[in-house]
Amino acid sequence: MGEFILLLHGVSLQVDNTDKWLWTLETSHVFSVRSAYNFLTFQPSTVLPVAVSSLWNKDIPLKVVMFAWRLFRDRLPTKDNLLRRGVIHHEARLCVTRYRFFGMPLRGKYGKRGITGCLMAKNAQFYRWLIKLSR
Amino acid sequence: MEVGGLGIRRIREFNTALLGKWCWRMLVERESLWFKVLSARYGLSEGRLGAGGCHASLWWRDMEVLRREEWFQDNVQRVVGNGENTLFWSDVWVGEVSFRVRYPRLYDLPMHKEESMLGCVS
Repeated sequence: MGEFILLLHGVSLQVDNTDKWLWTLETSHVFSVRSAYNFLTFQPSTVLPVAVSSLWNKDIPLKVVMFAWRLFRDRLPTKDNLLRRGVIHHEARLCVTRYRFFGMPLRGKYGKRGITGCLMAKNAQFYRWLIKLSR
Repeated sequence: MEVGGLGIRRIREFNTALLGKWCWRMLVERESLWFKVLSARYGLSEGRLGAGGCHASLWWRDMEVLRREEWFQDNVQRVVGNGENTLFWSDVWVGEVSFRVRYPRLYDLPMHKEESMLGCVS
């Protein structure tokens, strides 16, 4: 509450200026497709490296290999992916708990640490297999 | 990123960037005819066009997802002038999230939840 009041204290409206939206990627502050495209393609690749030869590794159970393949290609039904494909609705995203295990996004800034960290906690052997496959 | 080549764009990202232009226009061209058509079709609540659910057009369903995406949200910024067109509770005008999300219990209090900045602050 105190924080709220503090925030409001700093606010002063400027009568002569209208409210504006700024696009931060352009110096003109106006959206451009070029700047958006550059931003989107500059992101580190979301496909994690996976050695194709290691997929035929006989020491690793087939179901784990299949899972890893889908994981590295970001093709698992994570909540993130389900949202993106419109399977679950944005408003319902907090109610859907079936996929809670994969609740964190694979893509973007959380990167692979998020999901593998989670897997490590669940099952060390599983994690070792994944590491082997991702080499 | 590769340099050279035939200048062929990455089609997924390019499509997203082009759709992003619509998201941007949705913010700045609120007086335009197409915006009025959309608000008649999908409704307008708390300054935002409605989602439309599964009966929405394919294009609109794409837009609905896209306008919430981080790459877009993180790169647009609200600058408050006279406060006429900024919603006090629902727009993100200071910090990372709206007051509505940040102070949900305070948000329960006011009767008129779509009050502008101008109405709330002055």
